Amino acid sequence: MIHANDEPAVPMGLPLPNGKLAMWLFLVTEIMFFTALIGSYLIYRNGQPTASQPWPTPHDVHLAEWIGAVNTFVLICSSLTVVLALWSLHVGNSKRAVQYIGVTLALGCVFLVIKAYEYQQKFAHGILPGRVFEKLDSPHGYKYMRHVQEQLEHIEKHGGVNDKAKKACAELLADIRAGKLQPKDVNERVRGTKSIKETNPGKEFITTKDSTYVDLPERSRPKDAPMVEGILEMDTHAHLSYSIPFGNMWASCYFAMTGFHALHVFGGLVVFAIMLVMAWRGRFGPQNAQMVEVTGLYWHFVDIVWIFLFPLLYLV
Amino acid sequence: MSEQHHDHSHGDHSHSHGDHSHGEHSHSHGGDAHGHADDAAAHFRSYIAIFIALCVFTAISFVFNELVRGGIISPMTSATVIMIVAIIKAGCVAYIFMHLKADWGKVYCIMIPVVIMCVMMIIVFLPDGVLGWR
Amino acid sequence: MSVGHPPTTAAPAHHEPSFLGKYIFSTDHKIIGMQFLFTSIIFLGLGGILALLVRIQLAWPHAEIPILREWFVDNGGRMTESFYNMLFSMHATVMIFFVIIPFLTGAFGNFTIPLMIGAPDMAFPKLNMMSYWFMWPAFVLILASFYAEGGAPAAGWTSYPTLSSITMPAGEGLHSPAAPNSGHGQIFWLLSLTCVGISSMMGSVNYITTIINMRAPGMTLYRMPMTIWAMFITAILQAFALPVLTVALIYQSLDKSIGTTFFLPDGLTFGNWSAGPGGGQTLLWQHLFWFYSHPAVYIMILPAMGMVSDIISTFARRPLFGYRAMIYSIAGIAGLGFIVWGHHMFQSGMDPRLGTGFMIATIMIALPSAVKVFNWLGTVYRGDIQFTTAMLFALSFVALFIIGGLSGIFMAATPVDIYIHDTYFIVGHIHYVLFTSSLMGIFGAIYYWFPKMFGRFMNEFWGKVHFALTFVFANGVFFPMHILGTAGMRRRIPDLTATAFESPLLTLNQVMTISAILLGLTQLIFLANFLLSLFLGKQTTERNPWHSNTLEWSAPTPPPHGNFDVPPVVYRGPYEYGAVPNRTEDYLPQTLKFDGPVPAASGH
Ligand code: HEM
Ligand SMILES: [Cu+2]
Repeated sequence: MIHANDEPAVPMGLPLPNGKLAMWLFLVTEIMFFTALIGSYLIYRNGQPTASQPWPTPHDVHLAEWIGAVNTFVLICSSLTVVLALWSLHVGNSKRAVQYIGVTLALGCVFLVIKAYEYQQKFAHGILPGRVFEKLDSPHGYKYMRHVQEQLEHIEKHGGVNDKAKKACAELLADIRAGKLQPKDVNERVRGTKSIKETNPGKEFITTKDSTYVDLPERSRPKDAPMVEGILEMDTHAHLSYSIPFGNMWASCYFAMTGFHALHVFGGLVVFAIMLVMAWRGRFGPQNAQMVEVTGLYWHFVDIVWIFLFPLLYLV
Repeated sequence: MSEQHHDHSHGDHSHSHGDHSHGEHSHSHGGDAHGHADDAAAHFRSYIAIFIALCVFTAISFVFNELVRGGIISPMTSATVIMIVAIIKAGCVAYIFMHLKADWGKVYCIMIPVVIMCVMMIIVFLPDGVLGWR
Repeated sequence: MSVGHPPTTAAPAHHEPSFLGKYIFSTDHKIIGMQFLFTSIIFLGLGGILALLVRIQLAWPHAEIPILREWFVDNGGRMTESFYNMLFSMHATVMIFFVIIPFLTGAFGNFTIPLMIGAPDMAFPKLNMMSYWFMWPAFVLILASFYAEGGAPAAGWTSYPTLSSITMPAGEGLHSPAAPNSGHGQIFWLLSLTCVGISSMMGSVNYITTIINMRAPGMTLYRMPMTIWAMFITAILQAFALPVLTVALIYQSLDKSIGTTFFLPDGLTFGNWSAGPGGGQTLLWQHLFWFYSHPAVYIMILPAMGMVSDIISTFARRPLFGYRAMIYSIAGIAGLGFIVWGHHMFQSGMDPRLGTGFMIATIMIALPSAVKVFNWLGTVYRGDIQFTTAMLFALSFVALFIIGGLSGIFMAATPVDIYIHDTYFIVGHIHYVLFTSSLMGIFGAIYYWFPKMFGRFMNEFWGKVHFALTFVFANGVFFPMHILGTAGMRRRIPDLTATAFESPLLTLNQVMTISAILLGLTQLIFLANFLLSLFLGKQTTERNPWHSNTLEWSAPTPPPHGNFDVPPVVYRGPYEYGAVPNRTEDYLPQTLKFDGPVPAASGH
């Protein structure tokens, strides 16, 4: 009952190879994935923070814009090299293609190393989810004070700050030990009135009555309240914690978004490494054009994600 | 999708014209230039041009950010510029590096919905996630 | 990744792989489909047992449970309330993520797609195998969660924070002060669902690629059977929706493990203990979760709709009424399905403007759903109906889906939903669309494709007994839920006697529980029929026992590796049933060349 095939076997479907089609479909799922990450970031960032309790600036959380810019540049370069690798294969220059892939791999590694450096900075400053001090009312405030006391004791023992700051540290430590201070005072003496007012305009930072260092908005701030120069204003490198409103949420978003991006970079690097191994064994040539193209699609997508993460996290 | 043709299966011969899609079945991705040296050079030049454009755009967004710090423009202006620049950059990468220039006709039916979906999702989250706190 | 168009005409391979290669680490789509089939059946049993325990507690609150008495010695042999919470949470999770979805997209998606489009296998057989093996971590984790410290998750299948995601401060372990079970068990749950998600994503990319690129010559898009259309659109739904759920799951697991507060709001306290720094948004979880889970309910019904369309057309011996309209309505349901998720959140404190939008979109879904129902009715109208077991199940799908769809529209209206949200009315709705529709569709599909899968028939007599009893008892359990819901019975409440307004509802609950137990026993008939037929069933003598048109019936039975002995070429759409001049049979297989007028002229 089955009739023989006397028709020319015409393939149905799109004039796209399966691999490429599947990669585009995979990218669709990836787009949705990163949109969910970025979308929730936008919501956290623009929802609860207010003018007086703003979302942290890059400076608050020890994030250097130029590092992000360099990383952007690195990824753009690697995108170029990947597309040139494909181009070289098409013009028949396999050796050049392998070199380009090698450069891409190297650039990807550079990206990850820079990222690792950045993460290390975050660890050093305790900018980690759940570890940032935000509220300074009890009991969080007393935890904060104990923490600063430990940091000050560390500075007392090992130094690491300039002389002026060192003196201020000693004073602060003495005052804390004497039990003279409220957590908000400690925060103000660490950061300085000016910085606090700059980053938290109109912030109602101090609520305790018996505090000398009042940091209420200008109109309610007693005229005679002293402006305090913060230790961090004297020496920006001092390892002292201060309160960062929404710092935990910032750290959570930052690590989630850059972490997943870095995982994707790593995944791409694995494939490039496999290609290099293939080349090393002499099994790489124009027949691998599709592999390079499909991997390239993925790599460019990873680049595009970073193109959005960079401004969202470092700039805007 | 390319085969919504009307293919009346009454006769033996009526199928051959059914599939107009396989005519262009030569796997022509935008990047390849089968031996045509001119083509290849043109592609090379376009890649380099895009690369330079991307670098310039990155620099622009960086500079605008610094301008805010200097108090020269408002944060809102710079944010808008920076986000537009990001979208243009992403477009450049997708259009040239990812060969959408050549492949758009084959993947648009999946790309347009996903873009709509993303934008829609974020917009619908806004009233609860953002406006609700105001 | 494979390159180019693999020849759609691969000759069946003749090498015989070892048992391990053939049945365990198989890359053959049919074997993978059967792996999904068998694991789903096992989990169906597990989910059913959990459901019966829920029912027992509801009918006889705090009665001593006959067999499980030893588990509750501390409680005098009676079920604890947290155990009850665990039961319904795990029942829903198992049924949704480990039964219905794997049944439909895993088992039948895998089995039908290559066969019905005339391909030798999936586009990426290895990826296909991985998508099954990624289910195993999920299986292990979900089963392990029963033994986790603190017990299995108990925050419902929706796992709303803060109930689900509060953990104790450092040093006090992962016990949740909100619900004791939401500790380790909840983390297992999250990881397990992530694995299910990854598996489904692999599957969906594979299915879409296969359907787009691997069709046999002549199989244009508008000649594909409804099953394939439904699988295609379901796969697209999965590709769009699943990544969002993955993000939500990851965020919640981070909340529970490393102290992020994505879903934990400011100032949350429990007793004398306050949760982390806050700053998170509880509603965001609901948005992300339902952004996936509403499309997911269509993932759980569309494939069944597709398969039912094919079964009905085959056994009504009539062309499917309005083939194109059926396709467009599936696409419409899928498209609208993405903008209605908020109807689960009407009572959550969501922005009322959004609520109105979601209400309108939800009510609009009734249109394509109604188109489908009318088209099924149009198909059977004046048909020469053959009441096989498969057809009975398919017909009952149509009938009972109407009830489920209508109750959906009730709830879609915000004013009505205020009253019936989180009552048994919802539970009735769920079970009409999921049990009496999806699962009945699955039963129909099993009876329908069993001969092709295994080369033997299932017993028709016992099949019909299974159908009749299932139909009666299912309605016996699920229909009263609507009445209970409107009478105010809340869902997820362990003890009805605790409130005055729910106490009078106990009798009806006892009737339902008895019905549920009988329903459970009925499934043993199915199980016996299925297992015995595998070995003792009547053997099929012809390739196409149902006289169906679609391609899988032109393949040998059971189809060998590579599927077709003669590479199929398609000449027309799949629904040419009915008398044709110059032809004695009342059907025209898609592969048959035939010059002359055809009944439906679909695929033109
Ligand atoms: C005619 C189309 C449908 C409409 C208008 C509709 C509407 C609704 C609404 C408004 C709710 C929320 C009720 C509440 O919580 O207050 C709901 C819940 C639900 N629906 Fe539907 N529905 C439809 C079809 C389906 C289908 C086809 C399925 C599954 C195959 C389904 C599965 C569910 C489930 C599982 C829930 C409960 C979720 C929970 O646990 O809270 N629905 N439906
Ligand atoms: Cu829904």
